[in-house]
Amino acid sequence: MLLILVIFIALIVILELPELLKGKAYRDIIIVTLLLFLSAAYGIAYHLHSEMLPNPNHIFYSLDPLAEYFQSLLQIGDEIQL
Amino acid sequence: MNENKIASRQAAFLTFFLILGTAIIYMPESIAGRDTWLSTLIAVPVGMYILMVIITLQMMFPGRNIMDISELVLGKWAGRILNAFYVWLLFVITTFYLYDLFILLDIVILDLTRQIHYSILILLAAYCIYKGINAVARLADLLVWLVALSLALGIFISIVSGANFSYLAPVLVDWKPVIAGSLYAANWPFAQVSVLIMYLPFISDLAEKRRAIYYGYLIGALILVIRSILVVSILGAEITKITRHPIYQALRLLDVGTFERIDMIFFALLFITGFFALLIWYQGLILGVQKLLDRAEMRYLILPVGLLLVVFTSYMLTVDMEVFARQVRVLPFHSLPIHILYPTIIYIAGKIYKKRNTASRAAVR
Repeated sequence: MLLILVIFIALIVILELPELLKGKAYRDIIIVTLLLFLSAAYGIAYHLHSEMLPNPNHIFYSLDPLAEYFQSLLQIGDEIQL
Repeated sequence: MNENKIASRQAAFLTFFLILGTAIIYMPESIAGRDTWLSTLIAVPVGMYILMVIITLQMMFPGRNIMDISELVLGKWAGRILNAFYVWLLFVITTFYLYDLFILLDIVILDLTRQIHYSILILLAAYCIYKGINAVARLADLLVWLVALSLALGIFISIVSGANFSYLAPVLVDWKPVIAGSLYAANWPFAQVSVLIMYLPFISDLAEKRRAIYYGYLIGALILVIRSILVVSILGAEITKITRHPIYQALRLLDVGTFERIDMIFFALLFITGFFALLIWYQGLILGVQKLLDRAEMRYLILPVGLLLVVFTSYMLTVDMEVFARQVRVLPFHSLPIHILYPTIIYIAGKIYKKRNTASRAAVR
C-alpha cells in the first residue's frame, strides 16, 4: 500500500502540480493536498492494520437489521455465493 | 465534434455498457432461482423511471449540470446537502465496481495483490478520463460492436449446445424470492443509470434523439433477461443460486465440437462491460466532486480521487464473503433510495421553480 501511495503521489506531483503552480491555483492545490492527506491517512492505517480511523462500512452495518427484516419477511434463505 | 460533447447515440452505448456492467457476471437477482429472469424483468421499470426523470429534468434546464440545477431550485445549502449525498453514492458504487472487477480478475486470471489490481484498473480508467468525455464515448462506440457480436455468439452457442429450458419450469411457484430478486436487480444494475445524470449536459442532440438512450437501456435490459434465462437453463436453479459468477460458470460448461474452455473468449466481453461501468462511475464521481467543490477544472482531481478509491476500497472491502452478501442484500437499502429520490426531488422542485418563474414573469408583464 505504501508503494502505491508513493507512486500515485509522484504521478500527481509530476503531472498536475507544475500546471497548478503555473496557474497560481492555490485553492485547487489545497484541495489536492487534502485529498492526498486523506488517502495517506487511510492508506497508512490499512498498512498498519489499524482500526483507529472511522470505517465508512459502518453505514452498511447499520442497515443490516433492515436487510435481515426484509429477508425474514419474504422468508428467503441466506445462501452464500461462492 | 466538440471535445466535450457527445452524441445521443454514444450516450446510448454508454447506457448499454452501464446496464450490463458487472451485473452480467454476478447476477445479483439469482436468489429467485428458476424465476431469476422474472426478477430481472420486474426490475426494468425502476431504471426506466430514473432515466425518464433525469432526461426530462435535463430538458427543463438544458446545458446545466444536475448539481447546478439542484442549487438553483432548492437553494444553495439544501441543494449542496442533497448533492453531497449523491457524491457519496457515486463514491460508494465506484468502490464496489472496482472490487467486483478485481474479484473477477483475481479468480479467473491474475494472482497479484489487491492494491496492485486496484491501481492498474484505476490508472487505466484515469487515462481514459484524461482523454476527455468524447474519447470515452468514442471508445464505447468502437467496442460496442465487438461486445454485441460476442453476446450474439454466446447466446447462440448456449442455446445450441448447453441450454435445457425444462430447468425453468414450473414458473412462479413462490413469488417471495422473485420480489427479493427484483429489489436486488433494481438496485444493481438498473437504478445505476442515475449516473447518466452527470453526462446528460454533454449530449449535443438530447432534445432530438433522446429515444436512442432509452433504446440503449432496453436492449441492455433485454440481454440481462436472456442471460438469466440461459444461465438457469444451463446450470439449473440451485447451482445458479450458490455460484459467484454464474455466467462464467455456465460458459465453462459449454463445448463447441472439439473446442473446450470457450469461456476465455468471453472473458474479454465480461471484462469490457465491467470496466466500462467502472469508467462511467469514476468519471461521474470526478464530475460530481468538481461540481460539489465548485471548481472550474476537473483534470487535477482525476488522480487524487483515483488514489482515494484505491485506498478506501482496500480499507472498506476486506472480507470477501461479507462484501458480496452486503453488496447484494444490504446495499439496496442504502443506494436505491438515493438513486430514486435524488433526481425525483430535484425534478419536483424544478417543476415548482419553473411554474413560479412563469407566474412571476406574467405578473411583471
